[in-house]
Amino acid sequence: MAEARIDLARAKARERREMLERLKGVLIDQLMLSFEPDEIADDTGLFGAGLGLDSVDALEVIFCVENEFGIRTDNDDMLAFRTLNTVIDLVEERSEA
Amino acid sequence: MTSTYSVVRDHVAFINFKDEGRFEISGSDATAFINGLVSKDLEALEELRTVQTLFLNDAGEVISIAWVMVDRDRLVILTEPADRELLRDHLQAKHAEAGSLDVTVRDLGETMQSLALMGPSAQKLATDAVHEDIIGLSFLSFDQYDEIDALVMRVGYVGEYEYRILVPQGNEAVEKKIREAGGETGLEEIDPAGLAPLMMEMRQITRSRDLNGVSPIEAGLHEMIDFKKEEFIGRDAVLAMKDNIERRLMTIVIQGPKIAGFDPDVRIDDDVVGRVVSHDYSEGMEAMLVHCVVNSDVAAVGVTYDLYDGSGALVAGTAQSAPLLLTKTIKGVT
Repeated sequence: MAEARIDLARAKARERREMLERLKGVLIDQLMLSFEPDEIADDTGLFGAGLGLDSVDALEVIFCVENEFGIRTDNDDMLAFRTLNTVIDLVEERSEA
Repeated sequence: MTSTYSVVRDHVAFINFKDEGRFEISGSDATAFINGLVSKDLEALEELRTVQTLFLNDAGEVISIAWVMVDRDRLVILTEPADRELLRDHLQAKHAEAGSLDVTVRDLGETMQSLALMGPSAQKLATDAVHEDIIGLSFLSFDQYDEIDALVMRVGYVGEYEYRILVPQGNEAVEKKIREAGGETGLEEIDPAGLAPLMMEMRQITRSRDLNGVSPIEAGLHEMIDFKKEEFIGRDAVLAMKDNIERRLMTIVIQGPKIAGFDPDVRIDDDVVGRVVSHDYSEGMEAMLVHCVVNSDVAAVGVTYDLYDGSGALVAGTAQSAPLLLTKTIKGVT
């Protein structure tokens, strides 16, 4: 019997939530941010007014994401590093490829 | 005439925010007074910085989403037109409770104009026509230019360059210079009501449109709150909210023509999983943008939801990450 759409949606939401929490955790730990995970919304910007990261942190962010999720990025991917959700979009895209 | 959307996304718009709320708080206790009312920590701000923050009530409900500029003993607060009276009444009530604090609250609505330049060419026009030092204004900073009697702040509602210019009522010199210099840049004046879809593309939340029965935590307004700030009105309520988020505000994109209205229920097949909060049509994306509050267990980017338009026809849309598009300003293209 085909799985009901709502069950698929629940599974998708669980998976996405887990990836977002992993991303928040690694950024907080590696960049020594003064946030708890539940103080950061999913659409929070990485740079400037959101998490307050700057260009000096950019390489560290990329390194964290590549290591945590086992993906490789290149220059064309830099615009994906805008918010937590857009980073996870990139991770999902690379994981499916 | 070029559409509002195209003027803002491709050129530069001139906007007179005549109906917005604008207030000045002055006095040696001004920062401490407002700091007790807002969710961000103003004491931690650097000089000449602007912050977007929340005025909350004790239940953690949003009274106003506001830009607050802090300059020593003077703060300027800007908010959407629908919040103007609410915020004014709130400030006056809290001022009356404050007793002997050295604080003066002024409604600048009748005495100051709030003009704006918005779009990928806004930085060049503002620098050429308003003040040459504007080129150096970083995002969320502001400065007072006494020689033209103008306070200029760099903010952002729609992902493009945006400069707010506060000048006294009756001072037409700045606007005149902008209009004279604006011809080559494609400058056109627009009605601020036309900004709604561009704000939705950036997931810029407004209280009047998006927070009817939606909490600031459900709406993802965490950036406007300093959770470690020791005291502000609504603090206990928002701390409790973030421990158990039962619903989330999602942006659902429905590709295709404009849809006039929706049934309030958001479904996945026969299961009601949320409700529609607001919607608008994006000319650039050729899609309906719908803000919906959805049960957390099925709220995720990439999930497809079922909505019904006014005629009862099923339309499907998918939740997407914000911002929904890369603007010319973000890409550095003018």
